[in-house]
Amino acid sequence: MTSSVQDKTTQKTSTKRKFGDSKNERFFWWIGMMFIPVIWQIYSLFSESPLIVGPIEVAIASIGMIQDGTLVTAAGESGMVFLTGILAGVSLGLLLGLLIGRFRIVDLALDPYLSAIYATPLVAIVPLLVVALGFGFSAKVVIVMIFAFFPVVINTAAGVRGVPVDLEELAKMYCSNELQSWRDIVLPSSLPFIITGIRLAVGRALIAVVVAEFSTAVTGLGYLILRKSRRFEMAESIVPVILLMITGFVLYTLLKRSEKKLAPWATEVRV
Amino acid sequence: MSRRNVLVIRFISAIVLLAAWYAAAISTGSLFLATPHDVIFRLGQSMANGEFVEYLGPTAYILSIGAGLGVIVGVPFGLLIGRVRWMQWATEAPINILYTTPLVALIPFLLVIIGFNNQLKILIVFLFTVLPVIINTAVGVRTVDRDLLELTKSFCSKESPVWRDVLIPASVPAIMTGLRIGLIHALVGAVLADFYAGASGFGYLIILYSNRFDVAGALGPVLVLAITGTAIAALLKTAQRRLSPWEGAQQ
Repeated sequence: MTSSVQDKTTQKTSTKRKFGDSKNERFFWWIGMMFIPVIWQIYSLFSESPLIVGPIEVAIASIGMIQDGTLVTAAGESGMVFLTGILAGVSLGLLLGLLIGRFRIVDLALDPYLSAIYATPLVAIVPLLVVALGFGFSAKVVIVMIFAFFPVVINTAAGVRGVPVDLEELAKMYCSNELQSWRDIVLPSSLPFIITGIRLAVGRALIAVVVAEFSTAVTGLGYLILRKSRRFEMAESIVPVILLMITGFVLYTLLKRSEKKLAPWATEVRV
Repeated sequence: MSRRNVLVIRFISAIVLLAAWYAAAISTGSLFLATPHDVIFRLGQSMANGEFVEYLGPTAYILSIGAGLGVIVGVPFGLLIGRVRWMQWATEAPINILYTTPLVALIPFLLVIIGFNNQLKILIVFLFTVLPVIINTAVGVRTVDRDLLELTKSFCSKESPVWRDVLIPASVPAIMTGLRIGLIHALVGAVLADFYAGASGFGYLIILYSNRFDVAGALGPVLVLAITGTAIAALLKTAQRRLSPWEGAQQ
């Protein structure tokens, strides 16, 4: 069960900073950032194939798609699925994670199955879920929920399990009741783990939204990608991909920052 | 809790979960969920009539090449960007952006550019594998004990002994973590490649059976994938403990 958490590696900035480093860092960061778009643009200019479109064409296509509303509608549909699914997945995950972390018997009973499912490529059950639940909104939400659920359970349980025993004993000595010890000890000390779980869940939920929309009915960004690429409208098919990239990166960065704020000492876990 | 009690709880929970599976399968009907013995039976059937191996082969092929390339490229690249600072700065943004992107969204685009073929599938598996391997390897190199590195400097050590004696041994646990996550991602990538990048392979077998409403049949390959994933995770965990026993002691 501790699978995702055991591999903590403390992230320290590698070496001492020398004078002028931050300027260099920014310079190289921008080079790295611009490298792929620039190469891609140059390649598209020299390529004879109409299928290779550069970032500039994609940007123009995105303006068109925003103006005629297709992008906004699709993003709204995907956003609904994403939010509903992730809310359901995270809340169920939190609930079960707290139970597992707090009650050893629940932990022992469920631990092997949860870690096994966590290592399973869950995308494999998507066709089955589609057969069972149909092509509608609820099928998509269930897919997103399942994807978001597991990282939250596993990290929450690890967080609650890792609450320092000394603190709990202290709380007992001062006769604090269960509610108080939850509020003052268990939740604060497991919060960084919970946020890590939610961050991983967000990443997986985004994948789930796209997979769900590829496999089910005709809505959302996923379907927009499929439809445009099948018509060989390459620029238009990349626009939703870029939007998903930005969403993923922004959410990841925000949750990462809040992790650092809540627990500056905390550990780096990458799953 | 004593070892015996742990076993008793595990045993009871296994029975309860199995009973719950049966109850769910029987009450919802065969269209939603199949009973465990049906799944095993259908798995045996598809293995006997050769369908299983026929669909497993292509997937095993793309998986081994894609994941192999991912590891061969990912580990050295991770070591390099972990050590060389300007490379770390230059790769930080693209790697993080790619890592947080749902890569599956790129499949239809790659499909048009590359076409339905094995190269595309190998590329998909490669992309899924390489990013976690790079990221974890780089973190491993970056978090090597600084005192050790200063020591090597004090003794005027050259770059290659630093790698051999300090950097590589110290980053082994992180590399193993990267391999574990990378290989599990590779499985996901292979299934997605089978789903959306050409109707062949193990992933397609799941779709094929599902579309025939043969839930028991479709759950068989899912079960095999689950066992594969769990086995990969368990093996690499054990290897990690063997290679770096001091790591476990700290936690």
